[in-house]
Amino acid sequence: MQVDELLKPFPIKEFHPFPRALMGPGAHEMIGPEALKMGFKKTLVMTSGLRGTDIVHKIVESLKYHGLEVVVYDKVESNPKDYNVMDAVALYQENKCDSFVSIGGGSSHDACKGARISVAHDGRSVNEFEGFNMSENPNNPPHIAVSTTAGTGSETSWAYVITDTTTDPNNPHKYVAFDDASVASLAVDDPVLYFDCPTDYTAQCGFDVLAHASEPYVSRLDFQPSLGNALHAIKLTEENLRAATWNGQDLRGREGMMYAQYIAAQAFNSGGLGIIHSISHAVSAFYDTHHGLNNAIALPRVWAFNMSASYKKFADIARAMSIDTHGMTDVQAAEAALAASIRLLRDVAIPERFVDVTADSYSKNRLGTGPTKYYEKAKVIKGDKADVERITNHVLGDACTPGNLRECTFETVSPVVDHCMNGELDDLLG
Amino acid sequence: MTAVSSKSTDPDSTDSTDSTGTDLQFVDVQDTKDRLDAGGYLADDALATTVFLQTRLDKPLLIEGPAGVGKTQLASSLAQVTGRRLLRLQCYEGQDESKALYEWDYGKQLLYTQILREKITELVGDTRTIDEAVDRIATHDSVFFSERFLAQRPLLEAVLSPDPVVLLIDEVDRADEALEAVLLELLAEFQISIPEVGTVRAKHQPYVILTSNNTRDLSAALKRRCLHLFLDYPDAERELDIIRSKDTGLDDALASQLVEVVRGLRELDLRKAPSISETIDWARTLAVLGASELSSKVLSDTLNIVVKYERDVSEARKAIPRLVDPNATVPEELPTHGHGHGHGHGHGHGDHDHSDGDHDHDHSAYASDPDGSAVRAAKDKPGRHGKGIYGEPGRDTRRTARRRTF
Repeated sequence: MQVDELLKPFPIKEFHPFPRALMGPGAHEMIGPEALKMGFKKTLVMTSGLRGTDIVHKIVESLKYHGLEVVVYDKVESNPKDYNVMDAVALYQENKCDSFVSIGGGSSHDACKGARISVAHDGRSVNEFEGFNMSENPNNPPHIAVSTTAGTGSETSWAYVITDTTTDPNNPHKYVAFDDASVASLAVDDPVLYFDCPTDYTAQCGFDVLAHASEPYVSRLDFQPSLGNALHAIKLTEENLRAATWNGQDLRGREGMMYAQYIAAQAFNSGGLGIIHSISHAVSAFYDTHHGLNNAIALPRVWAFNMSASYKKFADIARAMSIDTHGMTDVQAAEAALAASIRLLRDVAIPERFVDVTADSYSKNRLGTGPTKYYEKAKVIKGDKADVERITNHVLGDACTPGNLRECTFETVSPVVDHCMNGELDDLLG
Repeated sequence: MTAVSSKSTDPDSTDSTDSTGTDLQFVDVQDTKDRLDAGGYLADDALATTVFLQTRLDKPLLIEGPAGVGKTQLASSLAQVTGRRLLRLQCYEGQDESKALYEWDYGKQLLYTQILREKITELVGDTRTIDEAVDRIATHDSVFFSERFLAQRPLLEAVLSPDPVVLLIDEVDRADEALEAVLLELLAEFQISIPEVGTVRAKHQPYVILTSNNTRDLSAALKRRCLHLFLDYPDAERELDIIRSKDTGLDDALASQLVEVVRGLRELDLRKAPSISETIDWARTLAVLGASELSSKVLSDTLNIVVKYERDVSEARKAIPRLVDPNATVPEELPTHGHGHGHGHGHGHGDHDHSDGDHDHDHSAYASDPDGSAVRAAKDKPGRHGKGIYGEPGRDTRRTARRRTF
């Protein structure tokens, strides 16, 4: 049947696969038996180290207990760099490993996904696979992704984010690669593993969830199967983030955030993202700041920016955030959603502007040993005109930008970026 | 055919002397090695021993191994140092025995018939019927199927040769199995059976060398009749000696470094690994270019001398910086590479530590690469991921929007 081209405002939608997942308290004890079942013999564990916790140690010991040989690469940095990936690939090849286990947040999973793709292509640079389904060889080694932060969703999504430091080292580029071949073979989400996640880190990851959920809900892709997951993830975040942040051992709160991050990732997997993520990628590229933190700062500004294109959708978000919208117009409800997001951000004590982010307030390496050299080099976030300009340019080229609700040009986006850098959140409130 | 029907016992025609009476048979393994060396073929002990045995045991020698390790060259060097003539049968698919053994020279037969027409007329002049004439001629047809009208191909030539020869049957794995079967008689008995003539036996036993690149398995029957040698790439020292012996003009230190690079390339998973002859070509090329040091750049620029497939070139190009200096921090992205991303990675695991979350690589080498900045700059362009992908509106949406006024 011939379809009138004019009736197709957007291309045919794609539903992207998820891996099988084991979820709930104690799920991590299944890693060894599952690995055996999947035929692992010698596995490369990729992680940022998770120093101060014994999560990695425990899982490695458990794998060994089940008779597996284990090689550990524990030097994945925040905003994983291309050299992290390639170092791991070299280690994998040297040791003739046959499988991957990644333990951690998005950085570990993303670096691992990149390494899998690279390994499946004879060790070609991971940077060659930027874009949409750029890999040609689906025969990737099997991969178990074990989540330790409630935010990333990388263990269940088809996206991975890598910082390209080699093409132009003075001007690093953080990109998203969307690749069905990168999807893990098994996701493990165990709220018990989140107990040791520090307060500010938990809060920032929570805002990553809110971004993962709200962006596909309003995205131009308008992917109906994602919308339910998106709204429910927003609801779970609103209900659980405070408890998870301020009382790390609260199983209910942690479990709520676990499901929130999981279904939020499934929402954006096929439903698309927007410029919260584009801005976040750009700032990380230049300042190496934490993804969740960037999302948290960008989120209220981007909501405000997008709202005028569809108050109705933001009114739905308001209801998902447990706001009683009876008697409100859509505009009022949308404003209430924005106010609720800012309240949540303040409740969990996240910095409100990028220029307020300093090495002290910035916790991304709490589980490691301090800010990376990239962050040290950049020192403080400048937020001046030139800074806004280069970040805006990075945003415009980002793979998430086309999905944004409102069309993005330099003129429309640069005030948003500027506001993220220097603006006061109170200015957004009517 | 009596002259060739049995092996000669004439003392003057033994294999061990040439026309000047010099003894050309190898005395022992060392002598074999020395004489091959003097002839420009650097043999190791295993090779020299096998060649010596071959000449003493009168057995053909089958040499297998990758292309370009000197299998064919061995035959030619053996011929040179033993003062024998080299006969070569180059095998190929579809080759039949008439191209390998012999064929009847039909043109010559016809020509003789024409010339002898009067004689033939005379011969059959007194016959009355055609049958009678044919019978008369038939009594003489052995004249036309004699050695005189036999066009010799390399194998028969080797057998019939009045002087000792080296017979090279090159790339026997390319020939069909039928030809391989034909060879069996020659390899076992050094004789060839020609139905019209009888069995022709070699006057002097030839040194037979067969080579194979192992594109298919050879029959057990063939292997059984031969001594077998697997000739692999030489060790570094011998390869360097080989390069030296070829007077490539490349500085000795550089040649030594080059050998290491080539050996590294052979360890990659290439479709065709660089051969010794290609190493020699590479050394000559670098000498012609006046290379004073083997930088990644000069090696990458001349890589096509040794690597012959596109996929191999990119593999090799990636590996070269590491091969040149395993500890180097080098830009693996070369300006000429089309894709534009940073390929591969110079950060060898274990060479340095990322444990503090930092990385201390020297990026100055990249900074001077204008291509990198240009590639990077292109990533800031809106819509670079193309239309119709991930929410990017298809090409007709603008028209739709214009037509609808809301």
